[in-house]
Amino acid sequence: MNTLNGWYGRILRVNLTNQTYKVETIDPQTAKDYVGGRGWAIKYLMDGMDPAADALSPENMLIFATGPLTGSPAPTGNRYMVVTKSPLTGILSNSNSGGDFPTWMKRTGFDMFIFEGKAESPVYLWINNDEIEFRSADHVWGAQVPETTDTLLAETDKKAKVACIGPAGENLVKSAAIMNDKDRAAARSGVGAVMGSKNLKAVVCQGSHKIGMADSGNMRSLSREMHKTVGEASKTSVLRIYGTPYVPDVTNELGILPTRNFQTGRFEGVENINGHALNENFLIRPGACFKCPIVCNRITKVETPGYEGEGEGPEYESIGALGSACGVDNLAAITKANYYCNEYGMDTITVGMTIACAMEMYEAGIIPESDIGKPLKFGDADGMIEFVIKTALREGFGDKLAEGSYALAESYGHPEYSITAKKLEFPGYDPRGAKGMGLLYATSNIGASHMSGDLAYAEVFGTPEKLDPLTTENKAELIARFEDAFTLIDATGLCVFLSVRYVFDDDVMLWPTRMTELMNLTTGADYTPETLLQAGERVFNLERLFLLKAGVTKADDTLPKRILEEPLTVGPAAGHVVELDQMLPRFYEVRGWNEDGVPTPEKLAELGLS
Amino acid sequence: MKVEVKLIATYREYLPPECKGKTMMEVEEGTTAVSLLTSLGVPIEESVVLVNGRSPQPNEPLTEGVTIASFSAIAGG
Repeated sequence: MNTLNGWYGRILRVNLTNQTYKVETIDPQTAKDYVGGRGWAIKYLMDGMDPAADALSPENMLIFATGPLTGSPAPTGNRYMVVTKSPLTGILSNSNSGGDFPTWMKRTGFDMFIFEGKAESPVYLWINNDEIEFRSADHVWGAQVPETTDTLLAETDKKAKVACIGPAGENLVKSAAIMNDKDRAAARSGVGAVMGSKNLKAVVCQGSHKIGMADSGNMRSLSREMHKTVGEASKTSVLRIYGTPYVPDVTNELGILPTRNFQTGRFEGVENINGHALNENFLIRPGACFKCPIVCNRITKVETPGYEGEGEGPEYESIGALGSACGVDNLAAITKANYYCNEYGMDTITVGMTIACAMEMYEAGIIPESDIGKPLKFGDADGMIEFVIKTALREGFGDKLAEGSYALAESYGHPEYSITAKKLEFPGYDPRGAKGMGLLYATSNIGASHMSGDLAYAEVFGTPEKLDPLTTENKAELIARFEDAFTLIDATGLCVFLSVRYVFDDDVMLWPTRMTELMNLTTGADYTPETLLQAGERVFNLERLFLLKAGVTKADDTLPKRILEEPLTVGPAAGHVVELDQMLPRFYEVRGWNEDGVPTPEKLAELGLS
Repeated sequence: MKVEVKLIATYREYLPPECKGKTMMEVEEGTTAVSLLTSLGVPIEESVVLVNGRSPQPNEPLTEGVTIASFSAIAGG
């Protein structure tokens, strides 16, 4: 039996086909080398499935993975990852969520759940300390996320926590999310559709297990000190007062707010959809994930006739995708659409950006009105809402929207209207005005994602320092470093909002000094900042190998034509495109990959991946 | 000369409430973005400063009609 700290070293492997399970251990060296969370998950994915398998087949593995700091005293030690092959992109998914569920999952006494096969009929898992029960989910199949959550809590333990899919996941919608605690989302890449394809409606967790800590005294006092510092600072910080909705004014000023399917980077309606508008009209109060001192969630309520609702959000990405990208500046409508995405269980980014793509193709005369059933133009707030719902239900034109923007655009012979990388829709930063982000989108292992190595912290937000977003020099080195650092964060179980400011060294870009301290006090695994960052690099490279086996080539490390060839026309980035060819070769070099983007034998040996 | 000042999110508090974070200001030749913002009480060391959406050079004097924007260099979205 392992006597690990931070980790339990216990993995629950569930066979949904036979409704059986196994408890597995992990050897300490592997646990250490892959850190946890996203790192453990890719190791098990590579060892356990064929990356070329169909994402919606029983052969796909669906993994829920916490990190060693999940459930620890560290502030924001409360994240989990959903890792699987994506049905939207055909490559990897690395979806991350907070709320309460990750801590409750850790309390079950398992670090990781692996779901394999497919149940014969809808089931949910009730994991209660060491009791694992397969229960019928027939009575909640078809139910939305809030009702599913309430029903399952009532029949298990009202103090348990639930991760579940809504109708979108059941309908195998490619933008389907796995929701937890009703309005937290493991959203991107269609992970909800994978869960739906397995007839797995929900996972309910409760428990009383606690992680061991190598040095619990010092871990607790360091954590207390950080809680105090972060809590004090956050009282006056933008993230608590405005949440991520403060961002539209910033990106608009930089000329990179996605507007009308990335036709431009400045939106004339931005003042109606910013943090001030949200606070003045719909904010009830800020909210927090479990014990988090930052308090960035937005608890909101809309009473505007026709848009009534309440819940969480919208966050910045949702405001971008459902708002400016669709030319919509009606914040009540955006908020209502966001609630629908939570209730049906969908990723607001892919949903909104796919509708934006449809709007542009409709206006360009490429999608006939008869296919949609009515006009669908930029700025049509009610149309946007209608097609959010139809996406979830695969109703009418919604059935095409449910496949994502790349499949939609390609089906009409114009894939160039889909603003994606590796078929994942861009998030809310137009990279023509933030070129490092362009390199990130092109090289992230899940497709276009800001969370895979968010250089926007530096190019846009000035943390740890303000970089010129319009140059390409040094961006290759920086993106590689940011990717490794963000991979590491995803492996530990901490939240990015804490990590970028508080667990990296300010003097050396993203050097994990404090992260090392937290990890060693918890796990006792004798990490150094070098070995921790190298673990991030190891995981990133193993993910790249998964992509290569799934069929990715260097030709896929690219960006849409619009982004490479059509300059922005307004704002400080007017005249700019992403000169990817000035950054990508250097990126391969920095990463120790050959000119086809394949990790060299030397690099693999260095990382222990041979 | 006239310049526009935009203070974003929590930085609105450095202008009178009725401005809602945006105002035109009359400044003397040679004024820099940093000196202007400092005079409003903006804590420059923890701020992002933009002139027409770009980071100004140190000591770069403002010109007629530019937009100076500033916000807290905290993070993320």
